[in-house]
Amino acid sequence: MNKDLRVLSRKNKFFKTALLSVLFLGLLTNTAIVFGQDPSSEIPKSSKKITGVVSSSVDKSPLEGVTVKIKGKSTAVQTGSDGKFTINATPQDTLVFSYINYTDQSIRVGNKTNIPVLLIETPSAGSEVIVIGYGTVKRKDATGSVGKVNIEDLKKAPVTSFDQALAGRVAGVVVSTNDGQPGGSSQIVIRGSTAGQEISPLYVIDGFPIENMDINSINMNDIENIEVLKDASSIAIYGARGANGVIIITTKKGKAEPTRVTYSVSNGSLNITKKLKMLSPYEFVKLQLEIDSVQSTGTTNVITNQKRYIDESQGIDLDYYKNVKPINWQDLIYRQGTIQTHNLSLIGGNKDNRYAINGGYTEQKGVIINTGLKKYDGKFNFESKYNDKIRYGVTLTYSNTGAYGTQPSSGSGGVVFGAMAFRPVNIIGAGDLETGFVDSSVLGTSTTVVPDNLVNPKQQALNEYRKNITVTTNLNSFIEYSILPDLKLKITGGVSNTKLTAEVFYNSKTSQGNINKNSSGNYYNNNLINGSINNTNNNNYLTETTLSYRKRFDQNNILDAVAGFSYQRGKSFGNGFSSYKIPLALEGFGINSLGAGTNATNWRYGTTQNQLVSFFGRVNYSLKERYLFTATGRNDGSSKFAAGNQWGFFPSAAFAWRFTQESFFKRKKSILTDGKLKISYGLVGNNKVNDFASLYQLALTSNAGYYIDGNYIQGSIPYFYGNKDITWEKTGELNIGTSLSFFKDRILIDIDYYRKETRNSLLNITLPSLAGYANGTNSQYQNAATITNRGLEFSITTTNIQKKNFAWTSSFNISFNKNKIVEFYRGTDIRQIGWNLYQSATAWVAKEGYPISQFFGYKWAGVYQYGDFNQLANGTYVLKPGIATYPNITGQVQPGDPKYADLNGDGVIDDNDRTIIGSALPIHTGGFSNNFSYKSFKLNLFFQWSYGNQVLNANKMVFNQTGNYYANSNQYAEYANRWTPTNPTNDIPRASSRTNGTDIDGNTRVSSRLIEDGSYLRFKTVSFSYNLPAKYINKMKLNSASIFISIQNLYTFTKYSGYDPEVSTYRAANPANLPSGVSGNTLGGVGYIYVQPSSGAAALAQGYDYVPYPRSRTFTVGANITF
Amino acid sequence: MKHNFKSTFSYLFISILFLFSYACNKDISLNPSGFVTTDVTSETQLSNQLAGIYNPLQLDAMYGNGLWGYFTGGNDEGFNTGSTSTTSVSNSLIEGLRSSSNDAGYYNLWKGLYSGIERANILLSVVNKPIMDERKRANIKGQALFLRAYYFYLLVNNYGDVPYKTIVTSEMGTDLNLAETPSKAIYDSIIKDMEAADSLVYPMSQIKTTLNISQSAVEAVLARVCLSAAGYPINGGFPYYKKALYWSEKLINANVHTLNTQPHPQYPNTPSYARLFINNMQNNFAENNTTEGIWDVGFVTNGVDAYSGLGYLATQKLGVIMGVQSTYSFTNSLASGSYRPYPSFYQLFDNNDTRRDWVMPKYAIDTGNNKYGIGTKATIVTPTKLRIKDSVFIRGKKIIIYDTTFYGSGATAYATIDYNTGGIISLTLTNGGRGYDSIRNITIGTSPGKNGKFKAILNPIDSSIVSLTQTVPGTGYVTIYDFSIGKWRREFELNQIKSNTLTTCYFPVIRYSDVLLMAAEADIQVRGGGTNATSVGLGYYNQVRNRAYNNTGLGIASAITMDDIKDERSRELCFEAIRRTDLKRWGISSTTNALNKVLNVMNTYNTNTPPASAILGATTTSIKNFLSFPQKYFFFPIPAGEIALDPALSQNIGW
Repeated sequence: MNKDLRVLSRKNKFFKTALLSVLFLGLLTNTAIVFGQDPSSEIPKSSKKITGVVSSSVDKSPLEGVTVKIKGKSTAVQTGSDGKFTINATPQDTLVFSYINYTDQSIRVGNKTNIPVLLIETPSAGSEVIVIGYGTVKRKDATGSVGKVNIEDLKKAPVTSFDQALAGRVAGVVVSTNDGQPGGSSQIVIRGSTAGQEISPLYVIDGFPIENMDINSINMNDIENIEVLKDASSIAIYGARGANGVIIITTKKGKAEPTRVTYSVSNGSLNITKKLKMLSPYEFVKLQLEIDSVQSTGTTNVITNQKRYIDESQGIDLDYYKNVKPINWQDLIYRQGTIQTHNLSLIGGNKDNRYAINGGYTEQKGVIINTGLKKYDGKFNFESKYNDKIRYGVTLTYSNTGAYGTQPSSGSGGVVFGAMAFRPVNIIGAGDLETGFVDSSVLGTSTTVVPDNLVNPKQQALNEYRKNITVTTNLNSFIEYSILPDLKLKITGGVSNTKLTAEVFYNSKTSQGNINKNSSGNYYNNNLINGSINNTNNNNYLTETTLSYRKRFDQNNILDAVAGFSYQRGKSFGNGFSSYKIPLALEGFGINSLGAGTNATNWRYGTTQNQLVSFFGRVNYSLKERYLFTATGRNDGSSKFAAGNQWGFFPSAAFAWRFTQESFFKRKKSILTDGKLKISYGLVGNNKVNDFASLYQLALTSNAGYYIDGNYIQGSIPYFYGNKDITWEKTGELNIGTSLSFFKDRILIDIDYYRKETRNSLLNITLPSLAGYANGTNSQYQNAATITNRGLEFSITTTNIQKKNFAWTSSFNISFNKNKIVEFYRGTDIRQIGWNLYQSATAWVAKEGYPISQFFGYKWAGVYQYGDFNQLANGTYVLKPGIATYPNITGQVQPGDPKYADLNGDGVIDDNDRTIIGSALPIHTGGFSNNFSYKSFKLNLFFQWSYGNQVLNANKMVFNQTGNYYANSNQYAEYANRWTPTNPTNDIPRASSRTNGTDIDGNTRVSSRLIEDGSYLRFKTVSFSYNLPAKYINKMKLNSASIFISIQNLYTFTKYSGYDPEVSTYRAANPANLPSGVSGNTLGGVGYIYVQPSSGAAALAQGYDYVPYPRSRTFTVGANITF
Repeated sequence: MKHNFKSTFSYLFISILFLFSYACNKDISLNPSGFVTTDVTSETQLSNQLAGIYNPLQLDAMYGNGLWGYFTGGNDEGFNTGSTSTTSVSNSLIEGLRSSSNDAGYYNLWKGLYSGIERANILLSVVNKPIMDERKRANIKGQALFLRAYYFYLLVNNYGDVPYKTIVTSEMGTDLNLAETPSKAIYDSIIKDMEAADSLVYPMSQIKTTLNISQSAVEAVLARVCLSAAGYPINGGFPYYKKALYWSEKLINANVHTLNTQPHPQYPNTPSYARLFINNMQNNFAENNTTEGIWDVGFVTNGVDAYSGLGYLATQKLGVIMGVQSTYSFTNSLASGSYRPYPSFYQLFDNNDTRRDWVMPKYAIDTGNNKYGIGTKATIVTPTKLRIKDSVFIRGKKIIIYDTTFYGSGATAYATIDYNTGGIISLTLTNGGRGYDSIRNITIGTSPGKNGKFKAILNPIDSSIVSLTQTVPGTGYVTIYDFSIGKWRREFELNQIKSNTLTTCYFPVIRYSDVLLMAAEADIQVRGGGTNATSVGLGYYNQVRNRAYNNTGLGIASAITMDDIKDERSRELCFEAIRRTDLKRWGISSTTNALNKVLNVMNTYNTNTPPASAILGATTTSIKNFLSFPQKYFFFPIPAGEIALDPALSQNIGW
């Protein structure tokens, strides 16, 4: 039995877990569990010589210095360096073996003379196993900084993918979802970002590194572990691609135990957390009339709006609107969403063959009508022992995620925008807005496009068809051969395929597909009913060969080494076509009517590939269990760079000192159970540029064509700037930290300080047009910046109360990061980024000496008041001399116009007066999780916060200021407090008519008026569960059963005035989301490997809020049943 | 045991080191499967690359609109009334004097020219690679050399000193901070490259098309470039005039081209002068236009026709925003006709010059596709009982007087309009109508014809009008500002599917008249000819003049001066994207005077007869801007965005 136990305990996860659990309980009750021998046999009473070897259950290595004591006597010896001991004892005696960090073991002598002992390690926090690249390490032996996610807590959040629950779980990992779009993924930033556009970490799923991870493809229920590699020493084994950090996800594997079937189900509802108050009908009409009067001059009396809203003959005057019920568009497009999930898993096996099967289904109906998500996934894992030396296994996963519905933040046709902008009352005699498709008051003008705010947002939401279907298939297999007991060869091979199909169909009831005509008889929309289908197919092949060697040479020397070779190849191709002018009669067929378009030949095709060849190795050496050394190196070659610049070497070294193991410390009785100091330094890299970034590319394109020899032929033109000199971005990172355990793990503290310096940072730099590639992407990847990030991370986990029936544990973490741009490219130390609300304005600046993502614009200086003016004899107001104003204005600044600070004091408010007006980067972020358990009840409360970050509330540009964007747009309720002669407020400028582009309105100015404090504290997850008592379970022949209630986003404490302060709706133009090539039959062009939609977020342009998909509060009820 | 550990450790360490060092130099590049790189080509690809070099000519900022339209800001021929924008150059001439260095127009022209240059650089770097017929190779190489030189000419002519970049960008790495090269050196390089191209490209007799570069095009443009280099601000003087004379006479003496001296055979009632422009509008369909035509930029699609949807550029606004005003939308033949002449330009012509009414037709097209005299409709009632509605003018002369149901109907009269004041000079009654009442004094209250007064004598029997006498002319009738520029007319368009916003009209970059006039000018500068009735220069000049007067001999001069050349070039080549260049090379004062003249007249006109307020405001500011700093408007600004990306560039004076 003893032998079996050893085998099992070494190889069997379940057994180990069970054992640990039992031991854990034992520890809590201060009772040692004795793995005794059968005491019933006949034994002589005389003393005899007993010998044996004490070894560790972990690796069977002999343990030196184990105290062997006879229970109740003073006799005691210690084992030698070979683990051997000799002691004289009687058969009635019981030997007690004790060793630090191992559980005491008592063995009755009986008739034995040779007693081999396998000491089992105490299941302390220090013995927790952490997955690092190509291996595992115990927490106590870890030299680097690795954050382990408390997966049980994470799973309590009722969300559709793990990233939505990851924020605040691990110090140094900042997760922000862009908005509440179903299926939308998050931006994950580990220890601060660089200036590059692509800042997401490397994901390693069961050993398979994936650069552009589809987060939705992972089923939360199937996750066994998530670890985050944060410092260079940990990351270096993934050298080339790890500079943004590495997230390692291990999924569930088979176990040597009887098959266990678990079924989980949950059902819930989603509700929008906030609606924004808009102007009432009375205030709205009052504003419209005010706009009339603003437009009127001495000679012309504008009554456009008066005619629309006022008809004294019918008794409709302004006061009439006090009693008009508003059309609340937000109520019309938002609904109560639903979420349901089902998950079934089978896990089992014997000691030779194990398997795990998992299947899941998730359906979410979003809070905006006609939006949602459907997801199916499945996993099959099988591992088997061929003989004593050979093991093999295979894992097959499949997921299919279909996200559908309008995408408010993607630009035109935004229903969230429409729900705020659309007028709340009908125009006299113009039909019912609520049932109509467009605001008929604007039809018949000669505008070329039906403006966004004139299409009924409800109709738009119901009719806009967008569907993104992502199908991910992975096949991973391995074979492991034990050459020697200490030396193992492992060969893995894997294929990963991600297929994205993006379908778009705009029928005649959408702004993009409308078939209305203006008074000149022209269509607003020349494409008429239209649609497109784009497919992207991304294949990734990986093969790895590793040789690992682990040996305890003696008591003091333990070596754990791994060396390997890895080859990864990515291939991607995309195709798609657009179809226009689809006959109205066929629009009912939706996306299936694309073939009927008159212009269905507009196809696209593109393909690209890359490869990565790597050699890597790591040596962990432990001296006397207290001096821990790690050296890692990886040599990566990437085809993305030109020969000569392809290879990068990424070394790292770490040293940790478990000072509590020192004899001088051991002798003291201390509240400190375990303590470790660690320091590491290493280089890691990043190669996130497009696949052929080193090549100067030509494209054959129609729009560059001309007549040659009488025929009009396509032009072959330079399209993409290569850069032969481009090479690895390298980050050098220093990490100094300590891990402390007090009161036998009742309090665990981790503190880490890091300093990262990223050199040769990969930036996509816009080139002067004289370089001649302006028809394509007018930019080039260059190694062109140096960025530093330094920070402090602090985590504490405490067991506050541990009673028989009641327990309370907490875990708290906080991280600080400071980011600085040290050098920026080509001596140009400033880079401004436009925003997608208004192209002509810049909203962010990157400047040497400052952090990234600084908001850039004018300082709001209030509103021009009467006191700033002299009144002329004819009644007009002229600014007093010396008061700054705008250049080149056709009219004069009038009282009530917006005023900005003239920072350079030249009397003119122009671009030179722009300055840094805020930052999207938080000062600190963190999370606080509490678990309470009382008998069979469990309660989890999770808080998460971000402090010190600001948000550019671009909605205010449109909804808290007239005269700048869309005519007739409704405004925020607070706009009623705008400047008027009788209400000379300094906060909101006066009403203005639509006069785009003139300076007075200040419409395109990003100013500090739009910057808001985005700090928040979110009461993010509440989960309450109840385990059914054993008597019921047994009756039902179940293994276990529990029911639970979970709430996500319960409440957010914030001063932010928009929907939610956690927001980032800026999308960089990302050609990667299209098949390479451009519409218009361009062949060639930029070859990108498919980048997930989340990657559109740009590091330099964070904290942008413009009509996001609102976040929701989720409430679910569910059950877990194990058969 | 210890020994074992040490040896194992060192063995592992050494083998890992070995692995690392092994791989460092191996090239693991992959071949792209979706595109080719700039350093490879083939015979067929060379054609596509050549098409890419021609392509910028079609851009909106070039011959799609900018070069004949919004960039003409700074010449004395005409302007765009269609603008209501306040600062953008791409809306009208007037705005050219108001725009800033941030303006997209300047940037797009710059960008387009440099992209053409880089495309040529790339072709020239690989043209020798494919195995192919050497004559064909030379022809391709010659066209690329020429077009690159022409693009530099447009750059240096419009922006002054610019970076001269003839090496491919791929050889430049990441440092693209190029500084300007002095204009004179650029001109010399342009001339050198064009001269080299002359022996490489095919003659016109072989290619028989104006869409590609022939020897004729090279020689004609060489003459133009040399004249520019001879004049202000390069002031190259005599050697360049000599070269201009050499190249223009080489082409003249080759006897490849002649002026069209007969009307277009299908349109015998049009002047011979119009034949080339009709061909342009018809994409040289009926005739290949190689008689008078030398180099046209071709346009393939208007964005809605059979060639639409293929991704081809659709840019040409010629005929639409510059063309005969048309409200005929039934076949999508709208034309805003926004380009209008200045009065001084109209007055440059005499009554016998057939070019005047071709360039400035006095009619427009109504919604029924009928021609009508230009004017604006208005209802005028004063005193209250008689209505005069001057709803229809034919050739600016006819008024129909009619009434409402109550006050008579059917009276018709012709009015003779003073094109400068917009007032009526005289009235001729053609139909008395009937049923008018006895009130005889008519005052027109609103424009057109504001304050005009007439006396009507009525027939007491049927209350018809017997005669009309104008007592006060009034204002607001048709003036010169109301004539749209009709050099290229949509009524000749052959395209079956028309667009309300675009045409496919070809644009003549250079034609034979220009060569004759350049030769005449160079003759004056080199041989001092012109006053001598037998000089060859005078002969060239008179060829152009005689054709303009319909070969009647009325236009023939016996002696010419530079001033005659200057005016003649405007009369002959107006709105063909050359006037601004001409004014500049004749000197800063030439430009300033020309602009002063037209802007002052316009200011006066605006003050007396305020048009749409936007135009008035724009004009006022433009005039102020220009007069306060005329030198600023000599060159375009270097685009501000470009300076931001290339700090080695410096901005032009005043911007």
